[in-house]
Amino acid sequence: MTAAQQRKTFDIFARVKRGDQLAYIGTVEAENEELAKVYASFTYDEEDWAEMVVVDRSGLVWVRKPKWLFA
Amino acid sequence: MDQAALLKEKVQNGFIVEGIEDMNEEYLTALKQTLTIVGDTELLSVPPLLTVYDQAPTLNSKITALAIMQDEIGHAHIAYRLLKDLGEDVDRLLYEREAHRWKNPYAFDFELSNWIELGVFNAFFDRAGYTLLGDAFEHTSYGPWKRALVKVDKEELFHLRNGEIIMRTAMQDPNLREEVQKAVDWMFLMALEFFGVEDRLKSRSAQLEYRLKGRSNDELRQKWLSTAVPFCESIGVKVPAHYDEEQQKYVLDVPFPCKFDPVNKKWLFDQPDTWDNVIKRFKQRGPKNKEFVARIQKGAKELEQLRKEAV
Repeated sequence: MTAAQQRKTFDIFARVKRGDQLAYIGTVEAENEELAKVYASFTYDEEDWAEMVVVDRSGLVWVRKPKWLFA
Repeated sequence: MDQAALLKEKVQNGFIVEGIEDMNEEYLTALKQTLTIVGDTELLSVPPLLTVYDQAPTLNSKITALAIMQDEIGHAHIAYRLLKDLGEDVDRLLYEREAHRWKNPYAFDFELSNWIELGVFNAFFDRAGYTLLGDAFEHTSYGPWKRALVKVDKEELFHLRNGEIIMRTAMQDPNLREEVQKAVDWMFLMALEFFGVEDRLKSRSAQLEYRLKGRSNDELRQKWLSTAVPFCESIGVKVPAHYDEEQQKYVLDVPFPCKFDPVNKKWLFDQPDTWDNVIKRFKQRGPKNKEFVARIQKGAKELEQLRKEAV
């Protein structure tokens, strides 16, 4: 397995300050959760976030998706 | 109505594309091309900045320059992540692509001569990035890109302000004024080339039709001029452009496009050129293209070699 194949996609959510919405801010790829946390902290350092969370994309359970135009 | 006509009509009316299932083939191709240019431009801005970062006059200046480079790599990361979600093999794009196939601007294929040029680089080229990506942030029909640009927009503004501070400070030092002017003399037109071929020479633009961006090349060039020229005038730097009251727009005082001497980093104003020739020059690449791309690819290639040896 190549290095690229071992990486997983993590979605990142963050809250700028208490009381704000937990907002989707981007993604990173990483071999594991620990590295995903490090990559997220360094890549998305545009705010002094009150909270930040990384979620393995394969763990997201979609209840509803957009009504696609051409699907 | 066919898919192309339907999608064009919808995005012109504010429809936001959220996934591949909302795209036709032409939209997907135009989006991938755009994001490749953006990712390559962000990433390849770092090697020229690195050529002079050890000339930073203070520790604070050095920390700021490194923070800017980290931002640029972060912006490149965002563009390439979006490409990966669109099905591109980003590792191949980054580490196996030949140097001449990268899509960064010609201006980034040059090493910088001194710290002042780093300032002008930030003030002019990051301003071009801010203008182009600010337009995409405002107008793009691709939702994931629009959301990602919140961060990029904020940080590019910080970069161009850093450039302005370096230029303004240098202009107050009689020993450095000439260096600022010398840097501006080659970098001003370089920045104008970021916006591409003149509108009158383009038959159509998928980027505009599918609303990947909102403003045309010439409109974006005018937007850049509308802030860059007043700033330069305010600090006493001469630029080859002025606002023409009659035409209600900025006009250039030199031929544009025109031929460029890459060895001496000098515009040959007595040799006006065509956009066809400019595109040829872009494709031939500048003097440091191979070296800068090799630097980006070096670590990945070495690591891959070590992996092979270990197995």
